[in-house]
Formats: sequence, structure tokens, C-alpha cells
Amino acid sequence: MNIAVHPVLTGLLDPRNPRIEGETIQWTWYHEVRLAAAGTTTLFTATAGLNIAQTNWTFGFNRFSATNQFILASIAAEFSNLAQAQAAAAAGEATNQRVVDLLNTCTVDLAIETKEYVRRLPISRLIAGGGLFVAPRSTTVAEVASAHLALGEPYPMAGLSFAPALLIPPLMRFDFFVRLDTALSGGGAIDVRFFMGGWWTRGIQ
Amino acid sequence: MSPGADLPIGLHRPILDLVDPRAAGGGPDRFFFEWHHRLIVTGAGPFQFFTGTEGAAPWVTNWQFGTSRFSAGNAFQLWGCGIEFALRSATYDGLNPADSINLDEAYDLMFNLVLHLRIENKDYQFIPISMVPWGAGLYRVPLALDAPAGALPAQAHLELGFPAARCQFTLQPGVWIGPEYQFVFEMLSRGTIAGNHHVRGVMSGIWERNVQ
Repeated sequence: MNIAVHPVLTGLLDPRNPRIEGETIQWTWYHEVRLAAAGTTTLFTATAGLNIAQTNWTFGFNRFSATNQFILASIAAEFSNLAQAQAAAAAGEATNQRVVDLLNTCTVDLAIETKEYVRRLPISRLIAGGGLFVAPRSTTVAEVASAHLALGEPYPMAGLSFAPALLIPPLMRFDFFVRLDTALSGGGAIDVRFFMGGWWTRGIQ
Repeated sequence: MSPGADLPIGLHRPILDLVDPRAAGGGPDRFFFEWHHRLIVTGAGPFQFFTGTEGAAPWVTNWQFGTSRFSAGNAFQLWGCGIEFALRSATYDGLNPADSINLDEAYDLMFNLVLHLRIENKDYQFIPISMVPWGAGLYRVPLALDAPAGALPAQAHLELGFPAARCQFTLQPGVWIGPEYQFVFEMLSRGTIAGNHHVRGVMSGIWERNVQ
């Protein structure tokens, strides 16, 4: 045994071990966008300069670089800016009205190398297990005891698992975009974080 | 031949799957262990666990090595990481005790903090902590649990997870942090975090001691 190389126990990665076949880890990519006006927003593009809570995407425009590939197992979305007060909510906060507007008007698409794997799926169809419900009491002292939006229990998330999973090879184009048919009512805007979950293989020789 | 006659005096042969603390075996001691470190999250960050722990009280941390690395002779099979809110309040407004978590603050933290794990300069996790809650999380019970009755409005009461508030994930596969490998386990913040929030970071796995 080479003194400088420790044998890796089965099932563990050794960050110092230069694997010829690449290192594969479970990983989730995310990109937060603010939705307001009607139109299409392409995800995992134009991410330069975004802060760490907005994205962890490190590649170029909607493709993995050479030596990187991704097994896409699921996509998901969450409202990344929850509001406690329904009235006077700041731009981006997920109020009852804005969430309902989004459910009424938003669809998602996913294509890899121009083959569609999700086509105009209403975001309302993603919600499973979590979702929207209304608790009977306000949780804000200053507000009246009105029904209060609780976004999911225990945790709000809308997700879709692919069956089977999809391989995005190095340098292959993928298009993951979200479309609003009409603008959110009252000039509102809502922050939504989209995710791609799966297995990232990096360092492919 | 009497039992054990072939054993040297003073050296007990470990029973299979048991660790003998006195055994001077040729290989490392391996056993499940959990490292923890509680930080006060405030300001811009980054908030890095397992650094600057000298002199900390045992309820703050059990980390005994230097800054973000195991010493020679020690390694760790890292199988899971997580955080928890380490100072809970019995009231919705989070005033008792001071600096305890409440619903508003927990939401802010979940969406503005990113959990980052890097080992030997390779990222193994980089994700908003909103993605980490599983099984536990935030939800509300319908009645205030404060006494005396009437001291608070009958509001929904924050319950941070049931039975225990924890946000964690399992690494797939696990990652080996070898002796003196540098690792960073931290939370990064979008913007400045107001107030003081006690967050405990946890690393779970198998500690290997006396790695040759």
C-alpha cells in the first residue's frame, strides 16, 4: 500500500483520490427567480453575479461543461420568501394572493437536447405532500384573527420525480423554463426557487 | 488447555464487533460518533462550524481538534450533516429565553442561509437550509402553551419540529475526511442576519482513531 494513498472503505469517497472515472455524488442545483410579469424565464442561465441563496449553478448557459454530467432524478420548486403578514407584503414575498395567482397561471417545461420531458405542466400539478392550506388562526399579533396562509406542512415544497431518471451528458443542452401566462395581480411579485435533484458526476476523464 | 492460555497476559482479544479500549491493535478504533458545535448566527457571516472552539463549554461543542481538520492519527467517515435551532422558546414571540427562535426568524434563516460542505477544496453540499428539513421542520399547533391563561392571545404556537427539530441530510455516498484533510462546514448568508440565533451544526459518522 502506498503510504500516501489511503484505501477507501467501501461506500466512501476520498476527496484526495484522483478517480479516473470521475466522482459521483448526490447533488441539488438551485436557481431562484422573481416572477411577476407574463412571459418566460429560463432557469440555470444568466446566473453570473447572483448571490449564494439565489443559485449554486457554476456552469454556463443551461449545459454542463466537459467532464461533468448529471443524472436528473427530480425537479422541485419552493416559495423562498415567506411572508408572515398578508397585508403590505414586500416584493417577492409569498402571500396568499400571489401564490394563488402563480398556481393559476404558471407552467414549467423541461427539454434535453430539444426532447421534451416536461411539457407545460402547471405548477399546481407539482404540489404533493406539501402545498397550501389555511390554518384557522392568524399567527401575527397585530393582525385580525383571519385565516392565515400556511405554506405546506411540515414544509412547503412542490416536486416531480422522473421515471425513469434522465441523463444530461457533458455539453448537452437542457432547457428548464417557467412560463407565466398572465402577470400576478395587483402588481405583485413572488420569489420561487427551482431545483434539479440527482447525481452529479465530475472529473470524468 | 485452559481457556485463554494462548493469549498473552495483559492483552485481551476483542470479541468480534466490540471495541476493547485497552487493546493495542494494529488498526484504528472505529465507532459511531457525532460532532457538534453551536454558533450564534448574526450579521453577515460566514458562520463556520468546528473552528475557534478553544475554551468553549461542553454544551457549545465537543470538537477537540484544530481549525477544520482532524489531527494526524484521526479520520472521520462522514455520513450525515445537519443543523438544529439550539435555543428554543416556549412562546410564539421567542422572547423567553431572549434570542430564542421564533417563526419569523426561522423562515428568514431557512431561506437566506446556505449550508456548505467542502472537503479538500471539493464541494459536497451547497444548498439552502430550506431544503434540508426532513421529518421535522416548522409547523404550528393551534393553542398557545403559555401560562398563565390569557397572558397571550390564543394564537398558533410555534413548534419547531416534532419530536425534535432537526435539519439534516445523508451524504450519498459518504465522504472520508482523512487525517489532516481540510474541511469547511459552514453556513453562508444572503444579506445580514438580524438578531442572534443559536444554530448547532452536527456531523455524524464513524470516527477512526489511531489511524496509522
